[in-house]
Amino acid sequence: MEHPRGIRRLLRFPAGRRPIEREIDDEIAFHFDATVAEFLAQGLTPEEARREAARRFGDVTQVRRDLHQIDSVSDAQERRADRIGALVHDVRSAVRALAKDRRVSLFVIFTLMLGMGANATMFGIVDRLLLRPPPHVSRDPLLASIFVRRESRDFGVFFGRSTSYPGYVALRDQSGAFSDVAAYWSTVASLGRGPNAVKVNAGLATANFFPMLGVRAQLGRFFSSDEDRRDNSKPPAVLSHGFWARQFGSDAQILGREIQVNQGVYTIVGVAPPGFNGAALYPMDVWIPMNAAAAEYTNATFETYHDMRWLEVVAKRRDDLSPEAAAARATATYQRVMRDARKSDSASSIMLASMVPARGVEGLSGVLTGKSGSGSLSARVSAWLSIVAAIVLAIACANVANLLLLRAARRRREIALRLALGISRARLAAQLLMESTILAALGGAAALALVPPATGLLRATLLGRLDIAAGRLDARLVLFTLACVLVVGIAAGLAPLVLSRRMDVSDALKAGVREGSVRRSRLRTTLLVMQGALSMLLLVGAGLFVRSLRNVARLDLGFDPDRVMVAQVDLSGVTKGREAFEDFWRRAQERVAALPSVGAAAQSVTTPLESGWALDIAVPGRDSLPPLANGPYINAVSPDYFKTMGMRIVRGRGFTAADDAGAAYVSVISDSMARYLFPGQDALGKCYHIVVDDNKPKNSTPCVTVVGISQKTHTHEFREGGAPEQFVPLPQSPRLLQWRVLMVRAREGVPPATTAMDVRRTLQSMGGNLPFADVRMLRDPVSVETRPWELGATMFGLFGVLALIIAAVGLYSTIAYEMAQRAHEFGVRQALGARRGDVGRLVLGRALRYALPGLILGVGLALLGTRAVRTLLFDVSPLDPAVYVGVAVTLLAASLLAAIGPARRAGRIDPIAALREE
Amino acid sequence: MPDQPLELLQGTLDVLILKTLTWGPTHGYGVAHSIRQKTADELRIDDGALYTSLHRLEQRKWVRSEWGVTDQNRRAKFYSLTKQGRAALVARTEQWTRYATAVSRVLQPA
Repeated sequence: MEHPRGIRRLLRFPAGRRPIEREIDDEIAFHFDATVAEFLAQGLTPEEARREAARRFGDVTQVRRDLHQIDSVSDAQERRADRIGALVHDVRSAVRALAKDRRVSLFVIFTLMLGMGANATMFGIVDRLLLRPPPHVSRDPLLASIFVRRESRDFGVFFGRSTSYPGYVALRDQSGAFSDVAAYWSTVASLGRGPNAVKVNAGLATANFFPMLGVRAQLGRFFSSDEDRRDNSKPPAVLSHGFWARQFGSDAQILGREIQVNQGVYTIVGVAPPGFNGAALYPMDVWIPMNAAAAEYTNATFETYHDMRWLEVVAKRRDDLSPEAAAARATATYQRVMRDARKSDSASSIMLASMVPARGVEGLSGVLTGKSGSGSLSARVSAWLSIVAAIVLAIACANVANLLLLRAARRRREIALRLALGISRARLAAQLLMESTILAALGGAAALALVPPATGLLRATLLGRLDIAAGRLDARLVLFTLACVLVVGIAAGLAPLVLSRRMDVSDALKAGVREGSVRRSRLRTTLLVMQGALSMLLLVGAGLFVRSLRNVARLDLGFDPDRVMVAQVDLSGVTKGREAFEDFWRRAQERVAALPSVGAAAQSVTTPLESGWALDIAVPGRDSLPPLANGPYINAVSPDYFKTMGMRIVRGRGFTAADDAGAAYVSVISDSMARYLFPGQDALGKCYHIVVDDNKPKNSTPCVTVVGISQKTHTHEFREGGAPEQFVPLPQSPRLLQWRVLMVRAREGVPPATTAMDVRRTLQSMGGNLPFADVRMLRDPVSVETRPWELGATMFGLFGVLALIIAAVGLYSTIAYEMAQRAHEFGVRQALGARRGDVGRLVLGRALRYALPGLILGVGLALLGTRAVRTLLFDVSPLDPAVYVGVAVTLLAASLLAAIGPARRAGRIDPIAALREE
Repeated sequence: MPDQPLELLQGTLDVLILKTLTWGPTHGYGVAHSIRQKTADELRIDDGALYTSLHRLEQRKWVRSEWGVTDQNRRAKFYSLTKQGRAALVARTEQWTRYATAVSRVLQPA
């Protein structure tokens, strides 16, 4: 038997695959034929040969099936390998193409890195602030934050978070809307006494607060409901995780230890999990039971005390009620209770807001416009900044698309050639998209690297008190960035694709590189215009914020925040009784006033921008006064108050020592209070009643005579009108609140920090086992108020400048490219007698023709957004002309600057060389 | 000619095929013929099983196949050894030798 050997030719079949069955059949057929031939050679008859062959083969159908199965698997594997191979090939060639044009590629990556980095950072922050409930708080949809929607003629609709204790009780027991209601309040307290006293952020919470939020203690437990009693002699406390680590070194034996928080002694029963700060994002240190501690922090009658709105409430809606039904029931109860108590909240309604701030009252738009109280001011600014970041990313994408367009124009011949050689348009599209996606991916990876430092920076400037894990690259952030990468990659890659689609292949092949390839692409123009418009928009925003900031800075607050400080010592448990309390403060004031570094010192009940005390007022002859969103405020002060604060009495007089308990009742009222109580009249000499007890008739308290009118002050909020406030002499205070602070003014020429140290030392040395003495400049709460505008100005400014730079560079590259294409034409012009200046002016004209429409469009966009932005500004109209003009000039200047380089180069073209070039 | 050819033990066919292919690329029929000749028909080879083996070997990338033309100008699928196949053959051969040695040691007359 000959051994079949030697293959004469191996034919390679083309790429078209033959079906597997055909191949198997052919192979088996060959084998059969060969076997039959063998048997025939041995002398069998054809039938016998065939039978033998069949016998020797075995079960043909089975074999065929098996072979088919094996081959299908092999085939699939091979196809997959081919696809991967093709992909790798595409990636390699894409990378090669990108590397060839290194400058453009790097610029694109850098631009995208900035754009996507900004967005990723903002998303991380916004996600934490607005899109999720606070850490460790459950996502139960029945869980809601309670808001009170108040309305006033002057202030419109306002959403407040606080209610009084009776209000909370009413919601809990009488409304029938909730299966559980909890209340909490945060304050500053002293841990320990004497020299080792530490300032802590303490939270008072009802026992059901923690189980309602769904948080589990890291160590030990939270409070039980029978520990949350008023008369609990051994109340529990729970430490926050951070505080436990900082203060107690994460001592595992912490449970059972006793700590003193202000006046109370508490036993530590648990430690909260890391990151838990209650229902808000402010860092907390320790929680104590509400009912056990409240009396110490407010007053003995807190359970029925309507005048103080201090509690924040969270509630679990009954699951058989819709949110609207629950809110309606709660509102009905609340209004009834307020009406019976004759409080100004009788027209307010209760709203249930999701624990996720973005889905809170009025949702995201509420957060953005600031109408709802659901987002803190920081959250609001963050939300706006994310929009800004998205705009910058849009600009960056537009720029990238533009650059890729330019590059595609340059590669027209190459693309046309490949099309002619048979590459399918789909393949071409895939390759171009691959290039842009690679760029986007590299930009995205770089962006992720930017996130931690950027978040850290933002946390230091923007987020201040908020407790947010900085720049953690969690899954949502990475997914978000991935999505950005895809969107950017596709968007930026599609633009050149559109161009290549409209290409007539032969036309492109014939044309020289210069001719026809730079038709004024409408797409490119649009992109440039868009960039200009968006830069304009951002810079207008920046300008408006800057002006707001300047207005705020120039505000005469009515007190001098940089020279005046507030000193606070918690005397509960140190002094017993009213006498001792007053005695302490009198001595404190004397000693402090006598310090050489002190200019003046005075006592006060409330601190500007930090605390507020309000009591209703009745004016004889007027039935009722219009309700106010906040106020009317009252403060009881010692005679030196106005001098210490730097508050001017514009008419009448201040207080003297003669205005004591036995003398006639007098007051000094603020400018806006005068207008509130006695509109259109001269308030000096008029009198009014302070409503201390709602159950007694309005005129049961003495009629307080106005002896002085102070300047407009901003002691309670930075609203443009100033706060309606009245000042009464301390001895004549309508209520004996054990709440006192010392206002201290640093002497002229003495640095306030020195004064603060002296004051602190003096107070601590007044003996009697005092808790920590807190001395703070009044600038601190002021800064807190102005920070949003500062931030808006900084961030809009930064982003605006960034956007402008990106747009300007985009303009530069476009003009440069265009002018390079027209070198031939410029050569001709110069040969025909044009001067350098003429050519240069032509180029500048091109730049303007791109810039002007952008400017106009940007103005249009800015005008559209005015209403939304109005509440964020201070004393500035969103249509402020100075800002618009300034920004327009900047934009034009930038455009001209961008075009100068190309303009000068165009002028210096050697006409002969240009003409000779193809 | 033996009266009854021996049944193949598991996995033997693969080794035989691999070894056969070391003498040059062949088609399936050629492999079968070669094996029968070498073993003087002692072993029973089902052609169907042979092809199944060949295709499996191809799936494992131990052999590769190519359609070609024989001396008689007929289209046939030719198989050849890959590098991995050669390595596998060495390993399997050694394994087989050890196996056979061990068994025959037991079976040897005392």
